[in-house]
Amino acid sequence: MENNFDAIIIGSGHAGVEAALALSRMGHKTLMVTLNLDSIAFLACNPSIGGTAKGHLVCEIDALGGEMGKAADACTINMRMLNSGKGAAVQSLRAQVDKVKYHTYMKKMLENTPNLHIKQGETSNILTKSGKVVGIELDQKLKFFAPKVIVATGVYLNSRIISGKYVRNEGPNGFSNAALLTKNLIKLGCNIMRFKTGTPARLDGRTINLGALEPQHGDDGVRRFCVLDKNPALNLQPCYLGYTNPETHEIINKNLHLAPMYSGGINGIGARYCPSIEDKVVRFADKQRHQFFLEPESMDSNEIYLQGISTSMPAEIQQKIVNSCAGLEKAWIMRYAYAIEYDCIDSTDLYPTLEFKKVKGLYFAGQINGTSGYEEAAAQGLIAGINAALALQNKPALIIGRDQGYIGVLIDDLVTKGTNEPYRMMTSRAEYRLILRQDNADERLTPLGFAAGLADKKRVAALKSKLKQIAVLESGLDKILAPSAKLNSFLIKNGQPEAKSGISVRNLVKRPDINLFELNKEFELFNAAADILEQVNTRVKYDGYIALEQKHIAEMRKTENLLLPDLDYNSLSGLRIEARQKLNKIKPLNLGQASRISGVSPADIAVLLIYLKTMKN
Amino acid sequence: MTTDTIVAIITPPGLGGIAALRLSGADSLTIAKKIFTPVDTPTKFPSREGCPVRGGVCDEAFPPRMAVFGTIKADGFTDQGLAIYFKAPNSFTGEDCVEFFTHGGNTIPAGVLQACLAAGARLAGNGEFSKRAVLNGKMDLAQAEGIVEMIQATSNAAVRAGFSLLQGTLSKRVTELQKVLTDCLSEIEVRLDYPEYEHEGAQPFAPTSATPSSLTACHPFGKGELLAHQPVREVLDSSRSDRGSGLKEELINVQNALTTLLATSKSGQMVKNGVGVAIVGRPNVGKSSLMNALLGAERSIVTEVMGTTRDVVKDAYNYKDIQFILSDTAGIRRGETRVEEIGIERSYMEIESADIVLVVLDSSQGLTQEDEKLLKLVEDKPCITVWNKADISSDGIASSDGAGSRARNDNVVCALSLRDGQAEPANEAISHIEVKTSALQNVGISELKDAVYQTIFTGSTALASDQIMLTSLRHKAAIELALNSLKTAISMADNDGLECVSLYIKSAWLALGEITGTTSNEAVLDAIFSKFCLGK
Repeated sequence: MENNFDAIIIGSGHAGVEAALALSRMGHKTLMVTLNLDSIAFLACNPSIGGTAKGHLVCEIDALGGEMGKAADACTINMRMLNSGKGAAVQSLRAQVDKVKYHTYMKKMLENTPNLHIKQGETSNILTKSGKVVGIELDQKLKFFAPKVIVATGVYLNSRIISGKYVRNEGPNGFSNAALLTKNLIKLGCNIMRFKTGTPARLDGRTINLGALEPQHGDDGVRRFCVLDKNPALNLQPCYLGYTNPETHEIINKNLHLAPMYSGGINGIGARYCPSIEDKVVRFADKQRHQFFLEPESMDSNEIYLQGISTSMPAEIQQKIVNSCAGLEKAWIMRYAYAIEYDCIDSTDLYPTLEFKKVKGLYFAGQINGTSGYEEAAAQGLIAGINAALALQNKPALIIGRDQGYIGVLIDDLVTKGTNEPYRMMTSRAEYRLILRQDNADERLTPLGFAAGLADKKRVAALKSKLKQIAVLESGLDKILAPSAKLNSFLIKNGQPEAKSGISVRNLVKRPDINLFELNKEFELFNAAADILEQVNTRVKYDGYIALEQKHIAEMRKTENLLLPDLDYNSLSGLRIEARQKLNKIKPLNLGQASRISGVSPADIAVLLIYLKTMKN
Repeated sequence: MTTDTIVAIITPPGLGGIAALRLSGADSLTIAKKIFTPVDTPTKFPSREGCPVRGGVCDEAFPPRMAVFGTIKADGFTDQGLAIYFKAPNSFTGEDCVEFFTHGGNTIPAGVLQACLAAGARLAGNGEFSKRAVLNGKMDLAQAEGIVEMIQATSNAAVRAGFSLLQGTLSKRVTELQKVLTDCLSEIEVRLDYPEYEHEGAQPFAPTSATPSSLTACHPFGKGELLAHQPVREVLDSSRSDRGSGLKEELINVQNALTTLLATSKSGQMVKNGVGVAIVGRPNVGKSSLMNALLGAERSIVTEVMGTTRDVVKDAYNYKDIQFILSDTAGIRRGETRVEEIGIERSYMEIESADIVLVVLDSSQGLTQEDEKLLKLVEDKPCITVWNKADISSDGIASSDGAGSRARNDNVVCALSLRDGQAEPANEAISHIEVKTSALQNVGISELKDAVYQTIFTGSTALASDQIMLTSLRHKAAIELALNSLKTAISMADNDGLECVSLYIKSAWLALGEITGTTSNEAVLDAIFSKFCLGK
């Protein structure tokens, strides 16, 4: 049996899939090992991809040559552009996706990718030799060898499902968990933490009174994640919005003693942004109601995902909670909600390439690093995969800056600050938010993806053509529109004062309620595609603000370019003790990264700066 | 880079009974032991916390924080004195420190210093002890600045200002303002990151609780914007008119607080550096006599010859805990010699740089044309008109027209107030007090001192004991920067996107962080999650 590979990926979730595809597409013989082939790219929680900041991540994955965007586009049930009333920078795509179809799409994609081998089995050991990874061993005592191994085990390590007193050692959705690997990871030097998340109930759609709920339709004509696909996103079926009520809250309060979070049955640390319904009712006792959303799980199923009512209450209480809500009086629960606890590692033990500091060639990606969310996982899988491939090729690593992408922010946060709760991407985590937009993800990242050898020529050509069209359009922005009845009626319609003299297109677009796309529709100024018009519109509107961000970026880059050698910070006695310990643990690559470590003060940075200067002399 | 051990004489040079030297750094104790021999090696010390335990035994010769009497050996002589060992981190610098107390004078401390250098220490640079204290986290930058200000203080008020800084009152105030900005940011960010949720729990802008069941309750950006089920266009239309208004109020509050803080900068500078008082007037009206009378000393040469004072003569007096620095200037007239002309030019420069101007007039002569010119020149500065030579004027004060006729019988003629800083229209802020004096007979001098004090500080809250005063130019610059960013944010609040407004609020936050040394984004996230109800 063939058992030598260039790289092995443990896990086939959203991180594992991207890592495996990146490595094999970059020409490396790759093995993907997973507990269960039927759980490939399984959407274990909500049947949706994207959302604020997460939509950005998907566009960035796409721009680098990853698969998630294409897959989500192919499986979309409906698509919305969140924050469409706000500025372009904070607009995010959110797709309702068909979870059955998504799994099938990805499995088929993996099966048909050259260089990629898939095997079902549980990994019990990661094999190392003198500080380097050499392969893995399966529970069946089979050994496979490779100089690069990526651990992408998601929430499966020693996972435990909890609903009230019902507790089982298993993975999500009844899949078996991975009980063997944690012990091995500890031996390799990982610091294991225990996190918690949860998923709400799934209801039978036939038993829901939709008439009592508010439909939430997808946006018509909205773009897709994949920048190469110019078709509008699919819009097949709506979601529905409903509310809990005082009766619901009374049921919850009366039964709080049965909730493991309150009775002490759960030890893992949950995310603040993902509270259970019992958490919400306790913490926000004044609220008379909480929202929930009903989301279709698949076009081929009646199952409905009940977003907003995640709980670890016992099954019979769950039934009462659900039935207390208007529209759900007769709802039948097909799958009960549960909380899940799992092992993850301290992500500050990783380099920005996601390589483990203590074992060469070993990478970690996805929820095992303490993140939450499919998109965050996929982004890490992609970066780990690309970097493992680049290392195999002896090429420089791909490290995306905080000013280059949300992926950069995500990974820098993970390896520099670490996280003490499941980490979710948010636009407020990005310092340079106006520059990191969905609509320019290709501008920011496709060149990097191409240089790394993953993004193909088609992407680069599309980017070049787009940039050319933007340049042509921008060169016409100083065109003056003479004052006319038509112009004034357009201005008044958009809440703007009339024009008394001629006004340039640029200055018109700078006005708060004027949009270049609408303007062009009215006056037929340019022969340009909608996405180009939107892009230029955004550039004009953000003009001054982007200049300010660029200034901040230039400042940041100064410290980012001061590289720190691998040194023993204990020898720098000017540093405070806490700073020495933190710096020794994180081993920052440059002064900028050092300055973001919590516990490293500006004074410590001054000491490092002085040290770097004396080193130079 | 290991920090070496530094040493310096920490008492001022000159003759005195005792001088002190400080060693700081890892080798402090080793060096101290080379030159210092305890006379009575104490046999037993009470074991207590902080005692350096070496092999389970206290360092017998130098228990920390204990004064040890002994001999200090320098090259060429031996002295007797005290040594105190401060074990890291319980010392001023946070490092191991030893302080010696030797006999004073010039020779002995210098000799001991030499001995320390010979034993392996390095001469400390300017402010190096404080710098190490900051680097070792013993105090923050603002506190270190406070110490420097206290040491350099020339008046009690300046000491108090420095101590306030040392105690961190400014840092505390700035932190409070940062907290408000953090709340504003969390309000914005939650709307950007969680557009699909209602934000009923959140009401930092309206502390009184809004109807919880109302869909549109309690957010500052207008009705219904955040409701996921509303069509986007409708959301925009309904919110457009009052978007950002509540947020704006909150930002304006911070802006006002910063403006108030900034306004104390002028008083702060005067408290720290002294109030500059220029004495100007025609020749021979008695400026130098007035200077001497205010100082209570014969500082300026007084003659009957016009133009005696050529160069500017400076000296200071303290009044009510504040230092006033007087400048006696050459009498202003058409200069007779080149030297006198230069002196007169300098008089003008003094007027320019002074915080307050005393225009001295001769009561016996009344208001002359030249006087009026001079008064015109200083009309937009804090100023006091001093009718000198009241003793030789017929009715105690010139009774011609103009200013004199407004005079009442008491020495201070009319009161005025100058509030902190600028921001007051010139005509309201500047109305001239008049005081009559006889410098030669020392009449009206204490009234004049009081008038000077009142002119500068009346209406100023800066001197109240609990008032924070900006004495440092670095802090002033940081607050100006924050204020500018905030003004931009406020001007944008009506029209621009929240993501852009956020950019400028963050800039303001960061500028304030220059004072407190905090620079974390986490503050905003923490605020979001403690206030809002979100999640799946």
